[in-house]
Amino acid sequence: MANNAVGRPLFSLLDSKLRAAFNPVNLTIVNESRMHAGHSGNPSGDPDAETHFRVEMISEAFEKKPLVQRHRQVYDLLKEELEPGKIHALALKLKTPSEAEKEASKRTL
Amino acid sequence: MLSFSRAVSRHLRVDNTKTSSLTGFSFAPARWIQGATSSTTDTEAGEADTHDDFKPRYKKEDEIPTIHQLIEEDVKGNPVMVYMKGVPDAPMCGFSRAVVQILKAYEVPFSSRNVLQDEELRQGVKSYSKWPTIPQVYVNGEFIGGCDILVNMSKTGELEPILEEAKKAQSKRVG
Repeated sequence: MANNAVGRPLFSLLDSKLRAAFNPVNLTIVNESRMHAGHSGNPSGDPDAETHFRVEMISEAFEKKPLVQRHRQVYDLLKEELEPGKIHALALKLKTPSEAEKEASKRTL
Repeated sequence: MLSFSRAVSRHLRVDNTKTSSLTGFSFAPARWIQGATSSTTDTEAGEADTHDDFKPRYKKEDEIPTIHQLIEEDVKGNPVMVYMKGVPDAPMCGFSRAVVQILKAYEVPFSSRNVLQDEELRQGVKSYSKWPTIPQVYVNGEFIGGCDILVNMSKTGELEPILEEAKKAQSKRVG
């Protein structure tokens, strides 16, 4: 974990900002930049690039909020990080604890 | 000059999974095409009109419609409107590709614009919806979301009734 802050400044920033704002039950951040090497967002193909992220987050903060509103909450929080030239792509999966439970029970059936 | 470059660079594509010939719009003379509707908005200057009401609304370069006005025409004039990277047959981004695939799976005709061809449009779309990412999908004038939301709504079954409404709106226009 200690390496995160040094080599992955954006990753660490996302992690701390999201945790502080949403107090998530579960938070997964995946840096997918490597998969997009050579693509417009990561043209240099730098293996340490921080351009493409996937965030999966379960939080009570999303309770009774439509998806568009949940995404906006995250976008607002990460406004600076989403400016052109920084994070190029951010995939979001934002669920409430009860939605996540439902999904998990479906999977086990 | 701005109005001219806008006119040549913006294509509205209409993709109809049932009547693919409609994609021929992309080869139509380049201008601000209102594909799914019969109306076109004429922004060219100097047309002789007899009454003020029929005069072009935008005559001078500084009076051409703002990008937000053009986007509003798009989303209100097309039951399903997609702003994407690339074109439906050749998306330039995985998220745009996913959106196209979903809409095609529901066999709903949609119109699209390629934001990669037009930086002003790319930024305008983001500020119009206050949504920082592309693709963006509008149904019956309402912003629905981007790729993740469409995928989710497709899974939960929320998407189908919304797209059915759009199909109804489309058939009304045609009929």
